Amino acid sequence: MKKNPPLISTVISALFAALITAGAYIAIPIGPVPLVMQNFFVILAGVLLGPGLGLSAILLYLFLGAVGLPVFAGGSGGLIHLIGPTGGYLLAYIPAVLLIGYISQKGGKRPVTDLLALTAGSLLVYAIGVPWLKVSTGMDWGKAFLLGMVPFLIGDALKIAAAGILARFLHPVMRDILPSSTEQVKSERSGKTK
Amino acid sequence: MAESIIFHFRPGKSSLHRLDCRFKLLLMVLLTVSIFSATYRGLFLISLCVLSGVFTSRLIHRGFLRDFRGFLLILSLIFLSRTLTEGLIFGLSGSWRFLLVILLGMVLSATTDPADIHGAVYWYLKRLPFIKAGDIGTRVSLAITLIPLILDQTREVTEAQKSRFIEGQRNPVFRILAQTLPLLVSTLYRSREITLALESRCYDENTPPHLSRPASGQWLLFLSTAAISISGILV
Repeated sequence: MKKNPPLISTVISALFAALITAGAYIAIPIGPVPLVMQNFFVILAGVLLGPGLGLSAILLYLFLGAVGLPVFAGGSGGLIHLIGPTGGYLLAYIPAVLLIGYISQKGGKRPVTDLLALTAGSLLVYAIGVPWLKVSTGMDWGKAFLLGMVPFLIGDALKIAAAGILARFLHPVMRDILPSSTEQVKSERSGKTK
Repeated sequence: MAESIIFHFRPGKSSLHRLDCRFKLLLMVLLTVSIFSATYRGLFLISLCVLSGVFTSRLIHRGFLRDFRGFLLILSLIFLSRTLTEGLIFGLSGSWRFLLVILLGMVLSATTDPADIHGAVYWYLKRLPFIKAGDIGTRVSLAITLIPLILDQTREVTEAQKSRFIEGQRNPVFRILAQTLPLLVSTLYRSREITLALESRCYDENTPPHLSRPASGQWLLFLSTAAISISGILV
């Protein structure tokens, strides 16, 4: 018989997919350009949920977008966006969340390693997104960096700083939420064996 | 605000409300692909199809245009950037295609109960090996249910922060934290409540959802829309 994943994992990954979607509609006005919070929730999913659960949240989010729901930045959606010029950034969320989750877990979820993980994950998004943008639009490297990376660097640095601080506050909350279900699953399994 | 008109299910009895969700998801994929691949003539056909969906689903209600302002800003930015780089025709068609995708997403979420989405996703994925169709179906329907709740909560947090004069705070990191920390703590604790609610209803991912056979009228609506969608690329 198939083993059910803990129900809380199902709920948490759905919750983060919803948060990432909502992030596309949450803009915090800082200076002349508002900060859109979508990639903020992506990197936060990596650092709070770890690689496994974080990956399931990202895959769920991309699935919603592929179906055509307006979950991508600016209210767009559809399979075509995943293979279009900005598809590299979207698909890069998958390895980015794995990397962030891995580094954060290996580092014992300490603030310094969390910040390192968040920075590495954000850079990985650009490492995949910018060449993808260059190839799909045919623009030169300089223009690809200028349009696809430079304007977002300051905003991303602020998001990394905020996500690092938030992770410190939210790790205990996650420990409070997740163990209860793990214990529950263990008790369910032991109940079945009896 | 744009988010108040998006992702909210509005119960009704229109033909789109009654259309089988399996058809709706397939049409959604087809139409979004065709919108971005269609020629101008094809785009005209697809536009008629999407706009008839908008009116059939009674999506336009009092205050719709006021709520749509957020999207108009994005659309005008797309129009300006494409007009400046590729010309007026590309600017117009680019922003029009974008508008159609947004409207399509609104029609789907306004006319589809998230529970039906669970059933449709389960039906499509159940034949695939190594895929837990029930679990994925639950995640999809939960995510779609949670998006409007999170957006509503965000609005409440924003209002609360405004009343505390957050605009006076110059530290940008503090402003991000002030907006996101209360939102995240409340939504994370909400996940526990949802889990308890599901458990108390004896949730089992392996229980197949009840799916009735689509009526012939639904087949007709599906096939005609699919034909328009495909001809949009070929015309």
